[in-house]
Amino acid sequence: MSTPEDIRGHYVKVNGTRTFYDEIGAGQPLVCVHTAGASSLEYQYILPLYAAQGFHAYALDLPGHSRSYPVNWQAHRSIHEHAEFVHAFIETLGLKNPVITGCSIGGDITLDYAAHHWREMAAGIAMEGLGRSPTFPSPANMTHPSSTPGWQDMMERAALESLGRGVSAAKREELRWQHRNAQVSAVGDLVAWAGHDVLAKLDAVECPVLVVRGDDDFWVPRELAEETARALPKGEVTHLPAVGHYPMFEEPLLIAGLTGDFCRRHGILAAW
Amino acid sequence: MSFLADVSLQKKFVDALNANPAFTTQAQAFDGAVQLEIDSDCLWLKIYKGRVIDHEASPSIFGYTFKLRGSERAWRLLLSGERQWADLTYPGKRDFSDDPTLARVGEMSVDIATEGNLIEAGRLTEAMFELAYTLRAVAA
Repeated sequence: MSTPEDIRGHYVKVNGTRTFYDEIGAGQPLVCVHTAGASSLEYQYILPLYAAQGFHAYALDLPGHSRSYPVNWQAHRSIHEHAEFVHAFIETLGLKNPVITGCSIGGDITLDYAAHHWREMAAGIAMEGLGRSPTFPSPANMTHPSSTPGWQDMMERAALESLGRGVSAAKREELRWQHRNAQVSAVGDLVAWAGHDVLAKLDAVECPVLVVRGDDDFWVPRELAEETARALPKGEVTHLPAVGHYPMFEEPLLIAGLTGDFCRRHGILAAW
Repeated sequence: MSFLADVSLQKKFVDALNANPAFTTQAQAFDGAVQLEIDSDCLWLKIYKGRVIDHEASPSIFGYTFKLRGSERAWRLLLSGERQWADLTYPGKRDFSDDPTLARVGEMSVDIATEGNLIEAGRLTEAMFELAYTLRAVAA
């Protein structure tokens, strides 16, 4: 069984943009996308568990986050820009028929990716993501201290408060630090979240997609998660008790198993 | 009358704020007043260099820098732990138990509103989280 210390970090140029990613395992490609204002560190605990399930797992830092530079020094401001970047990342690495998974904006990115590139993916696992997510106002110019001097605290608290209520103080502190490397890009991420809407495109998606939602996540209403799954021809939804906005960080064993089981059920991974 | 009208609770709350090092640290660069409003009840808190140095159970003639206003139902959701401070104070409709047809998706309503000088309220973001959870601890 591998550990987080077996994860290998790499850099690659994606359309000329220096991009960081973590990698572990062998087998079915699985591409992991992090939440707003964070990085691939959110996947450090689950990556070895994905590998144990039979995945060759990749977790990138989106442009402007942690160790990846922004494209043309501008933060992305739409989910579609992020999704197209992930598509370019996958093409650059030459990955064939990957499973795409992501959380929060990563979940929205998974669904946007499915809406536009479902023929090139085996399945999607959209955690805390929605077909449409206008559950928070567009933060617009909140990077500027002259208008929003408390942006850093607002963003970090938005993350912390939506963790499952049983998450330890140590993990809360860790998650807070995970959100301290992309304060500027976080604004673009949340502008993207507020404006995201691919609901009408989901009925054309023919690959299986699992929508995963934690019951303690107040940012993602149960009703909108179910609406998303209903719009997908091969959509399913699962609600996880006592889990918040970061399932792969909060309950890595549960999520790795759930992802592996879903892919085995759809013939993407070989049966145990 | 709401729970905020309880004079002994007001005193306990102010004492607890002044004993909360996270609150005093986060409010140390503030000289102003924060007013809590729960239905028709009010608690005015004069804060100077991280300490609550005065409080009144009615609007002060000195006014407030910003206020936090909501129904008792909303504040009780905080006290019970059913809802978090971010969920109650960050705009956006996320509870659809009263809207099964999802007609109000995208509505930017808020349960506890921040009004007044929003620049100062922004600076005091972390202090207000501490204030909210201190109130939960003494009033729950």
